Amino acid sequence: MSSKALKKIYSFLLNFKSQPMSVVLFLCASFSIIILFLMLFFVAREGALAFSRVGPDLLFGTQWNLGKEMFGGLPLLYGSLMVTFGALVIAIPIGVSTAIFVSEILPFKLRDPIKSIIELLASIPSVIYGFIGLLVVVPLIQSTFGLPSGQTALTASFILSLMTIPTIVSVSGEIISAVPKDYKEAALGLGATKWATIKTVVLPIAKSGILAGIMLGFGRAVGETIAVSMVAGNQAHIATSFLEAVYTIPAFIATHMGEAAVGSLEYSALFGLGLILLIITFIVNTLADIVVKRGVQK
Amino acid sequence: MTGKSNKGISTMIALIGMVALLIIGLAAGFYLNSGETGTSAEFPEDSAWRTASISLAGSTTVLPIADTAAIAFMNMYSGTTVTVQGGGSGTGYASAIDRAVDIGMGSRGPKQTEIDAGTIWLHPLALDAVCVVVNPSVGSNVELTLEQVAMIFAGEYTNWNDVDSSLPDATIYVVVRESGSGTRGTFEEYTIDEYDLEIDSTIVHEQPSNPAVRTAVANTNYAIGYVGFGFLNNDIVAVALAEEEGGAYIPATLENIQNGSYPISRLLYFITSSPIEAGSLTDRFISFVRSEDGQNIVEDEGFLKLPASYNYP
Repeated sequence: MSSKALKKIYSFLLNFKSQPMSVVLFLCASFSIIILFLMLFFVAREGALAFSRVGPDLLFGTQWNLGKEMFGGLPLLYGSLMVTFGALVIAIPIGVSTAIFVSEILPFKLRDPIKSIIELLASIPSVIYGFIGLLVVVPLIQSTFGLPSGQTALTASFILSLMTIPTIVSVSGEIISAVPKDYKEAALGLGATKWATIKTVVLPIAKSGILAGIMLGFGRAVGETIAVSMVAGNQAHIATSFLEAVYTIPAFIATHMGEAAVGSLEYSALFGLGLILLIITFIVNTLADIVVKRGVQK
Repeated sequence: MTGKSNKGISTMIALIGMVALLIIGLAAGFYLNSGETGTSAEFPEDSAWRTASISLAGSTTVLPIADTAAIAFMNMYSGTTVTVQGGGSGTGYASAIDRAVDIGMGSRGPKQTEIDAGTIWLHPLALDAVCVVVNPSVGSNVELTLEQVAMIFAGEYTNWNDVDSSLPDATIYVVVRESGSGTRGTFEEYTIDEYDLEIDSTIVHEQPSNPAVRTAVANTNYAIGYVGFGFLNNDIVAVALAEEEGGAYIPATLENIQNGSYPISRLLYFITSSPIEAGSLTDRFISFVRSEDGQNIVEDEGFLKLPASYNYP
């Protein structure tokens, strides 16, 4: 076993000698992995103090009080998941339908231009989304529902859905276009209508890809900071309706980091929250990877 | 076959070229950088400050003053560079202690953790008041005692009508700064802490800056919040405050803050990690802000000149 491993390493090094280019590529590739580990390491190190002193309260406590050293992250975690859930409820039907339309129904010539326009949405800086939310969506929701303030979970979900749709469209559209033409032609040849072909042939094959797109969209939504901070109302409580204000983990960290004394327990607790967020996105991204792989194997 | 290997070689050349360019760029940057400091060291000792540069970071309350003062200062002494960044009072203290900047900016006194972290020298530069503000829907002339304010922010009162029967029957929407903010620290010191109350973090709406609080209060019916005196405008109503029940209600005006009758006021500080070296750029900049000209800038930015008792030159 060990001699086999040694042989592998040896041939790997030999490979380096004969192909210097692969050394460069290897270094570049390891760079991002090293950065990832360093980030995890530093976030965990800074958060360690909070995990040992605050413990499970960081996940289950409801109050954030500097004087009493209470650092409860539950309302923030809840708020993050709530707006992300709301965003996906809006973005999934629209995103998946758009993807089907663009890659199956739209005339071939129009597909690429329309796709790039949708993808352009993803390149708009998030602070711009925040501005538009604050200027347009917040007053609209305030007057429509007769609320004292239009800064609600619904507003944040809506803005986030706009930011998530391009991700869902481009990833699932890619997969839908990749469904072999033969399959579709076979279905059409058997007399299936276009819609029946999409429903019974294209979607089942593209299912895993669509799911992966949704999960990537989740990752985008759960980590969004500034746009959410501008429109969500920032109230750290367990909201019972989408018309109440919420506070998300990224918005909370961004708001508090500037004023937290470096090295203090609050500072560490903010890193602890960051670690929780990191772990959530890692899990979701890994799940997306597994789902895609399984789809490919099938 | 040959085409393939050619392509491989040309890619490699391009990559090596790029790496080489990067290295040359970096080296040039370092060289120019070190060259610059080299020339400034050749100047005679007493005029070294004329080509020196200093950096400031910290409280967003102090930021507009420092920014305007820096521009005026650099115009006066061309060749000097003063860079100003925000970040918050926490950043101001931390970066001054770590010597990441020459001068930190703080809108609150130091916390115990910051005192423990290293030596701190405080240089007051202006006076500021924290004003309690409400949305115009609450009323155009609102009067509250400090205790009522404290109880509203602690969530003891949830309806304006409970505070006073003359106020509207509507749920109070409480807007605060994030914990750790200098403005919030000052506000709580004079209200919440005074009555042994606590902010209930589940009922308040946090905003990350003075303008953000102002926008939230202006756009939300029946909202209450607090901002620095320099951030008052016509979109919001400043509340007249009384120290205690039956006391006089003092409106938030320049005069009332300067003569000390307005109940919630504070000093703004420059922070250094060591005593200021006389004649250095840091010394000259801080002296400038504390001079007559600098204090006029302070006033232009909507803050208050240092009281005469601080006898700035």
